[in-house]
Amino acid sequence: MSDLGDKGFRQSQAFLHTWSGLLLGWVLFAVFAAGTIAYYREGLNRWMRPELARVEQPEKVLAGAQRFLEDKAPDAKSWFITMPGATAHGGTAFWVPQPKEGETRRRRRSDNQVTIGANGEPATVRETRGGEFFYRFHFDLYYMPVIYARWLVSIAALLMLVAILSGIVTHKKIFRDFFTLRRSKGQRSWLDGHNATAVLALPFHLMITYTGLVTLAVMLLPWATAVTFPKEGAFFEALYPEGPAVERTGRAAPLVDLTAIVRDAEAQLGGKAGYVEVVEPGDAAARVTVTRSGSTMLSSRTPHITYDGVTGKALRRSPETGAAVVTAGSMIGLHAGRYSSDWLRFLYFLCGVAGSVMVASGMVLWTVKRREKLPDPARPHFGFKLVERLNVAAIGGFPLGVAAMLWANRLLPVEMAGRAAWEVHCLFLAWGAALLLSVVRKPQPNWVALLGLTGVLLAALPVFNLFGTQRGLIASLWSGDMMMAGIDIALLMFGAAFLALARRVARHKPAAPRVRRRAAAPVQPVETAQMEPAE
Amino acid sequence: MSGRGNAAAGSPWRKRGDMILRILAALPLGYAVATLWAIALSVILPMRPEQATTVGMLVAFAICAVSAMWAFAAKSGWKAIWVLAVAGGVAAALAGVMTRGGGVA
Repeated sequence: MSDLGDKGFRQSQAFLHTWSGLLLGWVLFAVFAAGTIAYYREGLNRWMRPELARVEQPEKVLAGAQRFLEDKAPDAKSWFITMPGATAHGGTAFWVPQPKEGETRRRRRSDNQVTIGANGEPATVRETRGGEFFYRFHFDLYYMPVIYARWLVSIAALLMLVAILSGIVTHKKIFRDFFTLRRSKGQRSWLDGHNATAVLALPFHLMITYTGLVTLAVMLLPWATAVTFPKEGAFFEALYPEGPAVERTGRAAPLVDLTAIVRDAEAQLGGKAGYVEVVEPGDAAARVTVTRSGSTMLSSRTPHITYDGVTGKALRRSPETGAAVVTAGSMIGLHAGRYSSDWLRFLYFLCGVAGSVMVASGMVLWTVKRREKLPDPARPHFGFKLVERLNVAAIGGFPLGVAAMLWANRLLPVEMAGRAAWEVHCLFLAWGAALLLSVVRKPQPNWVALLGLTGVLLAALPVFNLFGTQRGLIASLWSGDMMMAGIDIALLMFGAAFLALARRVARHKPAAPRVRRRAAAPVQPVETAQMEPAE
Repeated sequence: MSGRGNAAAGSPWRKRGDMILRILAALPLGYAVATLWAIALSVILPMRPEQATTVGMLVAFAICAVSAMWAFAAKSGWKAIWVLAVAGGVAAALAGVMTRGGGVA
């Protein structure tokens, strides 16, 4: 690098920043926005099931899950019970039947799963994927095999890492930029906005991108284990050594009380339980494994203890993980933020919003910068039109899709077949409609329509909740249910923000052509310079 | 490399070729360098193998990103390629020596 002047290096990185940021920016925006929403997936799990009461005694749910499973699947191969945390909508009980000979097709997970409500009884609840959808979409996307989706998201993440690092090099006056926000100055304002959201949360952006790649490291670097663990699966066995496999004896024996076991495990593990697995329940060989909840510690590699399922004696504790594995687990924990308290979670969310705005403003900036230099601004070349319209479709369309999905959650009939899937289809139908609109309509009125509609839909949701559900804002505030109240308030605020944006874009007057010609001269572009949406 | 000097200053086709070289250096080659260093670290580091392998994976993404930055910072596409090839070759040689020398196997 010594043969390059400082200027040459920065210029090369500015080029890299522009193109690595643009290439998969639309995927990145949706992934970033969905990931941001997913920080409240437990809250949305509850919000999207307004008929469920808040869980106040997790042990009641656990006892109810055991009662239900002993009745429903007494001789299953295994049971899985997810313990309801402080913010969860309930527990889930899931069972795997004994494998039958000749049975090849695995049954769908939803056939063998129930939600246990706060009173310990199986809950009758609308079929929805809740906040889990945003969590899965964040790395699995939708309508495509997850392996391709994860590679695509990972490549987008790597491009983002490159864009962030080269972006740091590009910004000479990074700290001055941080305190600068010039309003209504055309391109300069977009750049300031992009810089402010990028620099303000820069440590977060770097952390979240890097740790995001780490969550998929084993898939992304399949050859990294080529020398140390050439045998398939050997790396995992070394990472997570398991106890001996359990053989069914055929002698029936009652299962111990899971509540007592969980209480003991929580004391020994040093934190709340997240997950209980029972292998061969009702058999003399039964084993119970309790895993500590990810919400109680930074590392995602949470420890577990295995008990004898009949005597309740502790048999085996997961071995200490080494420093490197704890580091990797902590990076994944930092990414998912499960460990975070209410305020830290809110900060995560705000940083995620800043990141989404950073991506969106960067993409719009690409068009704003180039519009000035177009040979004929009335008829831009294909590449310019493509980026401009994809921006409207992706940045304007995804939030509209989310709003449509939340409305579908409220309005689709409860008894509808495939209801959960249709909620998700509604997101993509709305997003697809936005894409179609941006193909046929001019960008500016389209921004106004999409942003405005999104704003109205989001802001109207809490109003619907007030009359259509028992969990309106007032009821939530009255009962001190801050999670439900917070989501309604956030919807109102996002609705207002989208409407304000739509108004600004609508009021923006494109500059007269002669002004644009003057802007091409080496004068600073003035505030009348053509750009959209207005800012 | 002084003969090829600043390839970007040449004709449009030279420029395009130079850009393709840089992209190749950034992505396929940068990824290969990262993987090779992950493997090298997994055998060099004095830790249990699953720990060393994990460290290698954690570091690989940084190597991949910095390789991409270098690919566009280098004076020419060819220089980007040979420097990265050497960086990967060093890792491969280290891994080879350590495995032969009884470091792991």
